[in-house]
Amino acid sequence: MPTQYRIKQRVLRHPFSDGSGTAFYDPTTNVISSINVNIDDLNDILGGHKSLTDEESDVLSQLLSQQLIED
Amino acid sequence: MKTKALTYDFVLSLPPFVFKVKNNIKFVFENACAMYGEACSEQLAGDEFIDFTLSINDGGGLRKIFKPQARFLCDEKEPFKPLTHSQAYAMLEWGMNWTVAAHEFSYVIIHSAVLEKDGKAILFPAPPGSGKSTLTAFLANNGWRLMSDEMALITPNSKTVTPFVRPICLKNASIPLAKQWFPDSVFSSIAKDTHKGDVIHMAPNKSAMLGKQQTAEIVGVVFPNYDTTKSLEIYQLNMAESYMQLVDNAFNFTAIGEPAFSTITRIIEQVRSFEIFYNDLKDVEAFLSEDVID
Repeated sequence: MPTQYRIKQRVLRHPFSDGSGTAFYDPTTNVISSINVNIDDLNDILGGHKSLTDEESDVLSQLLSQQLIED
Repeated sequence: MKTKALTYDFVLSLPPFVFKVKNNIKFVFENACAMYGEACSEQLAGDEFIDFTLSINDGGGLRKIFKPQARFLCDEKEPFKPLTHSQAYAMLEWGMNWTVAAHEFSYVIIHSAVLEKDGKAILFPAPPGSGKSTLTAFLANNGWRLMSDEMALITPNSKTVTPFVRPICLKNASIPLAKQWFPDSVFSSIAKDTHKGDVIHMAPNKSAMLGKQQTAEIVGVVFPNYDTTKSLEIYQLNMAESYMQLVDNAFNFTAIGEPAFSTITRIIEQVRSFEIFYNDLKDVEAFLSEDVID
């Protein structure tokens, strides 16, 4: 069973309405981040139900390294 | 008998802030008077209170005779190393910028020029070397109102920007250009060989000072890049790109936290953002007037 992730509850997120990506801010760690993935595609990536492209794997790695998501 | 050292203290009433400046360097006082006109006075007006107490001084002692320096203090703390004496006025201006950026949390502060026309404001966030201040000087003398050369003070959870009218800081090659283009403008003395090269300040003009308490609504964000090899090239940024560029220029994002996040994302959602490359200021002005504020 592939790992499923979710955005940490404390992390603020803003999916941009032009579909260009999603902004994040973690007020506890002061990490500010942005990914070029809209919220629907992000949910797919986090859900673990699909095999990821290289770009999607990079997004997952970025969010994990910034500790914005948890399993 | 001890003789009291000469002082040239003054007050700068620069809405939304009032600065008390303790000073013992005569040319700093003379430059402040030239730059700020009536906003520079020797005493506090009756209905004002001081937001920040600053000090600019030559340090005294033997060094004053052999290698004079300029020292800047904010509320008795010295955030920077001393500079050479001739850079004292530039140091005061930079110190004022630092003071506001480091202590003011009622606004989201972006490192950005702000210019207004017809009640509509455009932000020009940019790193040093992008040509921001030269563009600012040009626009401020060609039908636009200078709201700030250095920082956008944005009311949290709004698109409202408050003026913080200050001189325009011009560097190196732009100094003779500005003096040639705007012969009627008032300029400070030159601070030579600073970490930014030669630096001069250009006083805000009358329309800027008259509008120093007049807020405006942000209608666009433009990231300028002066490039001698390029005639006007315009790229509209998507929201994710614009977000990271604005955040990179935010002075107090992490100090403010959630309101800064919501303010910046709101602005990005509601106004268009562009990155421009240019070598002709008139082209930029036409683009701003015809395509951004219209």
